[in-house]
Formats: sequence, C-alpha cells, structure tokens
Amino acid sequence: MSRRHPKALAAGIVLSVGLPFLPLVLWSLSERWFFPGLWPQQWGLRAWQHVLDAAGGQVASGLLQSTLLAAVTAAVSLVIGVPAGRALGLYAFGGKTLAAVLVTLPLIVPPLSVAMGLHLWFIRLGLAETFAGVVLVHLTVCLPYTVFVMWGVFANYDPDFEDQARCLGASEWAVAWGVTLPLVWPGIVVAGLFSFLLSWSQYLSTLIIGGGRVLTLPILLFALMGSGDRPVAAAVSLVFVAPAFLVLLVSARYLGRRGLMGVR
Amino acid sequence: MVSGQINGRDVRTRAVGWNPRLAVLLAPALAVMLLLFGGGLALGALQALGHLPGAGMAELTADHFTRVLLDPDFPTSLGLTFHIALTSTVIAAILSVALALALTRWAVSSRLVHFVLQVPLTVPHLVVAVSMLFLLAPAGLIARLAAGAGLIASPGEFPLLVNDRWAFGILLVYVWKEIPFITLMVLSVLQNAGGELLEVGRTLKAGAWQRFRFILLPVIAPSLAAACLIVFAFTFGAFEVPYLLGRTYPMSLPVWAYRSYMDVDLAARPEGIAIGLIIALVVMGTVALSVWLNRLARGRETGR
Amino acid sequence: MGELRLESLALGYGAQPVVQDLTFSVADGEMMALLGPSGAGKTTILRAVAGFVRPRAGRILIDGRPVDHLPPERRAVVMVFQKALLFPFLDVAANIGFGLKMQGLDAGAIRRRVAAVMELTGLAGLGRRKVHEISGGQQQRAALARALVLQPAVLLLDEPLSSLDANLRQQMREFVQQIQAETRVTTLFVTHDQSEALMMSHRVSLLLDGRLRQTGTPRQLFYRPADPAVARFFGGENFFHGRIENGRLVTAFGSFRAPEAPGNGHRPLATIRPEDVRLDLENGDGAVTGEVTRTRFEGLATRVWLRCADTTVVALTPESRWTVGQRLAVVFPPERVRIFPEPPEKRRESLV
Repeated sequence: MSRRHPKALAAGIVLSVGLPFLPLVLWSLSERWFFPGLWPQQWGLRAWQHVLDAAGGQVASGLLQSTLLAAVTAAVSLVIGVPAGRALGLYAFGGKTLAAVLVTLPLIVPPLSVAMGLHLWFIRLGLAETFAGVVLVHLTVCLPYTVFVMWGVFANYDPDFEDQARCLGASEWAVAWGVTLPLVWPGIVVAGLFSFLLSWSQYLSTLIIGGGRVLTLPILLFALMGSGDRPVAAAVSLVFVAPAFLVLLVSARYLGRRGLMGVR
Repeated sequence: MVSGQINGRDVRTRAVGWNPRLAVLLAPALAVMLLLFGGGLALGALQALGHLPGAGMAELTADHFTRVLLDPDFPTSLGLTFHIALTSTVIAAILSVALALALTRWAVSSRLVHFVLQVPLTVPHLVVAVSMLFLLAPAGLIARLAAGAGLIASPGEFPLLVNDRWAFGILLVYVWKEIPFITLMVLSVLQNAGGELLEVGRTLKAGAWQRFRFILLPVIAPSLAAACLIVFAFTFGAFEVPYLLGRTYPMSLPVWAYRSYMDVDLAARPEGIAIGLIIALVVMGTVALSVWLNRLARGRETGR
Repeated sequence: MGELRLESLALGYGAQPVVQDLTFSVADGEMMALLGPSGAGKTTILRAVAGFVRPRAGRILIDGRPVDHLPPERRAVVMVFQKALLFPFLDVAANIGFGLKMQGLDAGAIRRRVAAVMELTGLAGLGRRKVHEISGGQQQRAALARALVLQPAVLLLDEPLSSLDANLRQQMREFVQQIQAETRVTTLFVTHDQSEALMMSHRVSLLLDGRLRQTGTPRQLFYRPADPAVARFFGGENFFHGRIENGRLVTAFGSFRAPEAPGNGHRPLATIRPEDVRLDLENGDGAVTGEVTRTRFEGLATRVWLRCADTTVVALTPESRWTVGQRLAVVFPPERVRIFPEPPEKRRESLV
C-alpha cells in the first residue's frame, strides 16, 4: 500500500508550496478580472510593462535600492560576523556565554522594538532617512544570523589545516586568504545569502529609519496594496520573490543537500 | 586543549584565556550588538519612560507604560497576539513533525522535494500575505471557485477568511512559511540518528507509539523546541502579516505599536515604543521561561 | 644538514605543565621516535618544535642556532599531522606544491620538484586528482610528499600512520623508513606504538608522565631499560628483589652477576622479560619450581602464569603444552636478568 504514498506526499508538498504563486501570476497578467470569473476576463501585460519600465520607474529604482541595501548589509555582516563566529566556534574563553547571549538575543527580539528606539538617536546623528542608517538597523537583524551560521561552521572546522599551512611556509595572511577562506567558503555563502534575504524582506525597520526616503521594494509593495492596483501589486510581489529563487538555486548548487536549512 | 565530538566529527576547541587576538575577532560584532541592539532597546526604554529632552519632556515617568497596560484594549490585543503566535507555532510544529516522519519513513529524499521544501524559507512574509489576500478574500480565487461550483452567489456569502475574528488568514501565512523551517530542522536530526535508533527500539520490542514517544520525540525535542521558540518569537513580534490580513480592531501588539508610533500626534510615540518594548519583554520572557523549564525537566530526569 | 636539539624545554597549557626539563637531540640524518602513551605530551613537543607552542623555559636549536624567535613559517621544520590535512580545494599536485608556491617559486620549478617528489613517493600520475579521489594511504603519502618537497632540515611526524588500518600501516611504516633512508632527512616522529617505534627508528626517546625516561637504540630500551617504568612500558612483568653480595645479586630465583651493582647490602630491583623465562618439567635438580595458575594462548606464543613461593612469574613460551596445576622448573638465564641501578630513595616502592 505504501508504494503510492511517497508520490502522493511529494505531489502534496509541491502543490501546497506552489499554490500561493498561482494568484500572483494570474493577477499580474490580468487586465480586467471581475468576480466571479475564474480566469481574467482580459489578459494583458500592463502590470509587467509598468514594473519593467526602466526609465525612471519606481519599481526599477526600488529594485536597485533593495539590492544595494541587501548587498551592503550582507557584506558588512560578513566582515564583522565571520571573525566573531570564528571566536565562538573555535575557542573556549571566559565570558563566552555572555558574548553568545549578546549576539544571539537579537535573533528573538523583534526588529521593530529596536528600530523605534534607535530612531530618535539616528535623527540626532543625521542617520535617519539615509541609506547608511537603514544599513545599520538592518545589521541588528542580519549580523546575529551571520555570527550564528559562522559559529556552526567554525565548530566543525579543523584549525590544524592552518597550522599545517603555516609550517609549510605560509604567512598568517596567506593562511587566512589561501586556506581558511576556501575552507569556510560554503558557510560564508550561506551566511551571506541569509543576510541578503533578511535585509531584502525587512519592511518596518526600513520604514521607521528610512522614513519613506529609502524606497525599497517592500515599501513600494505596501503602498501598492493600499492603492488597490492588484495587477501591479502582484507583479511587484513576483519581482520581490525573484532573488529568493536565485538564492535558492545558488544554494542548491553550492551546498547540495544541506541547502538553506535554518534560513528564515 | 579540549577535545570533543560535534556532529560525530572530531573537533578541537582551544581553551584560551582572554587574549588580544580573541578581542580583535569579537570586538566589532559585540560593539555593533551593544551599540545598535542594546543601545536601541535602552534608548527606546528611555523614551518610553518619557525622557524626550528635545520635546520638553525630561522627567522620567511610567505614564506611557501604565497608559498602555491599563488601556481596555490591551488584554484583547495581547490575547490576539498570543493567539496568532501560539496557534501558528503549535499547528506548524505538529504538521512539521508529521511531515518529517512521513518523509523519513517513506524515504522521500528526492532533490526536487527538498528543493521545493526550501522555497517558502526564502519567500518574504509580505509576498505570502499578498497572495493569501488574493486567494482568501471574499472576492478571491477560492471564493470564485466556490461561486463556480455554485456554493455561493456573491462575495458576501463567502466566509470571512481574511481580516477575520480568528485571524485565519494570518495563521495560514505563518503555517505555510514556518512548516519548512521546522521540518528541515527536525529532518536533519532524524536523518542523522532516527533510523538506527528506531531499529534498536524494534529489537527492544517497542511498539509504534512507544517508538515515537520514547525514541523519536526525545531525539527531535531539542531541535523542535529551538525551532518553535524562534517561530514563536518571530510571529509574536512581526508586523506585516497582521497589518495586511488582520482586523482593524482589535489590533495585534506590533500593529498597535506601529500605529501609535506613526501617529500624527507625536505624543503617542512613546506609547508606541512602550508597546514595542512590551513585545520584546514578552518574547524574551517566554524564551527565558522555556529555557528554565527545560533545565528543570532535565534536572529531574537526571535526578538532581 | 639538520640537527635538532632541545635544551631543558618546559611546556604547558595555562597553569598545567605538560613536559618538564626535556633535553635531547636528533642527529643529522637520524630518525628518532618519540614514544609515549597517549596524553604524555608528545604532540605538544612537536608543536613546540614547529613553532605553535611557546616554551615556558628552555631552547630549541636547529643546527646549533636557536629558532625560538621564529614563527612556524620561517623555521626549517615541517610537521606532518595525524590526519593528512590535504587542502580539499586543491588537487593533489597543488597540495604538494603548496609550500613551494609560498616560497614564491615559479610555476615551472614547482612542477619539476613536485613531479620528482611524487615519483619518489609513488604518487606519479595522481597529480590532477581531487584529494578525496585518492585512497587513505595515498593521502598520507601526499601529506609526506608535501613536507619532503620543501627539503626541511627537520621533519616532524605526528602519528601519521595511526589513522590507517593495520595492513596499510605496516606497508606505510616500511615506506616511511625507506623514504627517510633515501632522503636522509632528520626525522622526529611521535608514536604511542612501541613496535612502531622499535622497528622504524634509529633511536627512541621514551616519554612517561611528562619526563624523558630514556633515550637510546631500540635494543637498549628493550633489553636495558633504565628503570622499571621503562621496562613495564615495553611489556616487562617480572620484577623481583635481591641482595647484593660480593658483586652478585642473590634472589629467590638464584644469584646473578651484577657488574654495575653498588656495594654489599643494597637491595636493588631486577627484572626479566617474560619471553626470557625458561620453563621445564621438574627434574629435581634443585631449580626453583612454580605451579602453573593460568595459561593463555596468544598465537606465536603461550603466556604462562606461575606461582613461585610468594611471587608470580610470567613466562612467554613458544610451547603450548603447559597446563594449569603443573609444577615446573623456572629458570632465569643469568645473561637475561636486568638489574636496575638503585632508584633514588623511596620512589622504588611506588614503582614496584
């Protein structure tokens, strides 16, 4: 009897995961679609033309803004988070628990609590409504994840590789660049993708600190939902998901089976 | 040097005292966390306690907190937020365990299924909320299917599934988003240890239920609990989904915090921050409580 | 050239001392085994020589020059670790050429020297393979090749064979020995396996409880152990007391010539290896007799426990005909009895 179960289960999973994309695709391709039509009464590419209108298009600039923001946040997270992950994963030292709590507490505290508190301070420092200010507030979300991932990577890492390279004549820098980096590269890729996606999907913290000046895709999408232009909202939603799929494909290639386990 | 086993691999952590090299590795991350995260919370607390020197309010007062806590809507909002977070976590946890067990039992390990299972992890909550709106709204895709099947004649006859009393739409978004997260966490444990332990259970004559209760559950419990805590913490403090799919009244705490903070009346701002801090406290309290309970339970098991 | 000398070296982690007052040298072209049980601090010594552990006291000299101030990458020393530690992101040839690349050699020179060392280590033709595509023995040989290609003054081997299975290990022992003989690279290798140390090295240094107990040729350590602990480490089981009388050690098992013995009245400890004990059917010629209490067949030999008066004697004999309860003559051939120099004061008690 169990012959058919695996296929049914697999089909069920694929269907459940795919279902939410159906209305988005249909709506983004519709011109007119009134109740109770199961199909748009009139198909069209208006929404996509609007979205892809590169010349001064809001969506295009939102896409650029979101991409830049996520990329910079991920890069900064890695630069700061990889060393911390190494310290936590490889060494036992006094005060380690405290350090661990400090870098992991932000994993559970919602970003809105932090962003609201930072806002006034950022206004005083001139960081409010700036790209840098938004990067900093995103960092409170992304950095802990980076540290966490790299902690796990370095806990399974054999530092003898580095000693081996040293006594083969590699300087400390040569070891860091030529041995450590390639060895933890898959972990760095995951951590980077993590951070990118987390920053990419931030809404409220961007809104509070960016104050409507830093127009990322989610900010635009929220505005569109308010305006009620469903086809465009659907198309923007799909654009918003696109990098996620890219990330997934990259990770499937890079990480094989383990995939993105642990990403939120 | 301390030797140990992590994930069955031999690893070596080097026990060291505080040295400059370690400080260099940790300092940037700790500084960012202390300044931005700790600072954000601390400054938020100051503002929520009425310390707004620029706005002429310099004295500390608990007024904003008491106003929120004594607001007649507060218990309702708190209850709604708990309902959203707890219900979605519990449903997602149960379905995830079932799914993980089914996947291991039927040895469904095709790359496609694993890949598809990862899709929801990467999709932003906001997009899922938008899609659910298109699916579940009174004039949504499902209502149209119902109309096509002759079950309803007008959108008004379709049961309210978004902006509804029981937060059905919100729960659905969270369950869809979180099942893969919990499932993959549980699955990784099961695939490492599950199979052999179950065979041992069989040779020791444990029945199907006993094998689940006394072998599988204890094996997956730590990862499951960790995953659930993360999901709970996230859903308790998230804003987008309840904002888009929730009712205007009562509001979940994050939506309330947002509304107060963004109010044209700047005097409502400290109240917004106060609610944000209450959310943070509830979440941290829940996590601390569960960690403590877990330690207590483990202490009892080992007879201490 | 490559002579390694350690002078009064003390090593430790944190407050915990690992090795104290360690002095020995490895001569140019010599292969020395650093032997000791796990946890004796052998690896720490190698790490100190390689430059990863800073000595608390003492000096490390290579060819007479102190190297303590040099970082690992500038010492003429290469260490081969227990695990092969081949870099998984490089192919076999690039792994072997790693050190040469670090020295800034041009690609052509690296290729030539890598090819030569791969020929020497029997890896010819495997250069383009990924690390995980070659066998465990090949990986270990590649790790050795990676060290040898740098022509170090001193080669350090940290139990490089312990991760291999028994058959392969035997092959590799001969291989390492042969390579060392060909290249004449000064080698210090660490092992906890006494037979490995005895069969592979020119000299052995035995480390017990953080102290160097004895350095010498394999035969010296095996047949002329410096103290009972050394004897015990190499399988010594029979220890007995005697009294010095006129240059002879008088014991319950007979009297033995004691040329190095101190004066009359001293009571030194003596030992005889189990395989040197001779058993015979009792024939009433006045030899010491003992009753067999237990036998254990071990393949090449049979181990026999005998009760002789108030002591137990263990004998390892090629014959397997002895049975429990038999009374046998127990003979200690005088030339096989080792009389220990009197140990300092009371330590004797704890050693017996």
